[in-house]
Amino acid sequence: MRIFRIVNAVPNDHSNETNNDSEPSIAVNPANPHEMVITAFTQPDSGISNGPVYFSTDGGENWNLRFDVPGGMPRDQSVSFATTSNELYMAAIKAGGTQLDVMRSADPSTGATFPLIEPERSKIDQPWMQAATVIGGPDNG
Amino acid sequence: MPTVLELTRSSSLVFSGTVVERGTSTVPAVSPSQRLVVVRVDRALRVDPILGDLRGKMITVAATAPETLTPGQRAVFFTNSWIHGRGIAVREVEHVDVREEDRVAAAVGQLPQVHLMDRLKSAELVVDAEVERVSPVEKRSPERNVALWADAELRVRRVLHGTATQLTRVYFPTADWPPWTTAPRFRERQRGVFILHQPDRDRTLSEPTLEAGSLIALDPADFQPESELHRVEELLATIAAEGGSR
Repeated sequence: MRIFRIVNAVPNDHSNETNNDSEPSIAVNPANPHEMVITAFTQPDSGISNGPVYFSTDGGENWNLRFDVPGGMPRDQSVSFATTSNELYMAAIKAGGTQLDVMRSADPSTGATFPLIEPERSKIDQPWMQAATVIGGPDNG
Repeated sequence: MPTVLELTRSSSLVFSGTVVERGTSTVPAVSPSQRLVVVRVDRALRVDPILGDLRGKMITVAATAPETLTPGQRAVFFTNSWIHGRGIAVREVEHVDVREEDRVAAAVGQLPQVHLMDRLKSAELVVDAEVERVSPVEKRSPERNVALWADAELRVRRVLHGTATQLTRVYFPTADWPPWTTAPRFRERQRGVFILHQPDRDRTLSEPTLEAGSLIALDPADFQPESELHRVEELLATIAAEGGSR
């Protein structure tokens, strides 16, 4: 029998928030399943210009909220880890609009930033991020 | 060096505190390093209410110049949130001598007025008015997360800035999803000061669906109760004396 534990990913110090943290996306690092990332319509704290992302480094036992995603209040987001490199890929639409940012982070926990890896695209809705290793051809690896 | 007001505006978490330790971390997810400083919060000056009372809590500060901070030193820290988990870690923007604490507190107290000033400067029309009628607007976009506009007909009692007809219409969102959740919602017989703007064609999908010349209210400060009328008039006079709206 499988046992599922429900874990509250919202950090204790944000327990007062009553926002609608809807439309989540979750990614588990295939190279290190202890690393997990969640995005949602979580609002940044007042005065913060970057958007939030949740991460866990212990298989989902404990969660942290990090305010480092460019673009402020997020709209649709999708996250996926690369197969072997531990890098996190994120597709995020900026608040209210249809501009899509595609980012890659070397460390979704604390260290690295979320630089854009492509020019912004417009008129996009509900992006879906999939990261895979190319086998063969000019993009091999 | 930026002014205290500029530092306050660019920092989401401002507090005075005492340096407890250097090179360590109070957040398990943040590894100790030389640039980190643990600071005990003595007085929270600008903190999102979600975080509650931070007095006495230890905060890990990623300092811009950790060598300038020594255990026991008191200072006012201008920071932005970095990691919230089992503990709080922030990135320092700047720190100033703790003797500046009251001046920083005054700057924090000014922030709502500074924001209101910004809204007034960018406003197309500012009126003292009463809502006569509120009607839903037919949804004009197939997109999700649209504003679900409603329009409020305002009976204008006095024009404070701009040009208005006696009956002016303002569009406001009724959607309860981002980015519309904090916009003012109007109801019939509501009286006060309405600070109205032109839609921004590039900001959201919903604003371009309104006809040219429409006026909207999106920011919580775009409606002020009647009791604030005098203050709004004073701010508009200040703006006019400084050279007018932008």
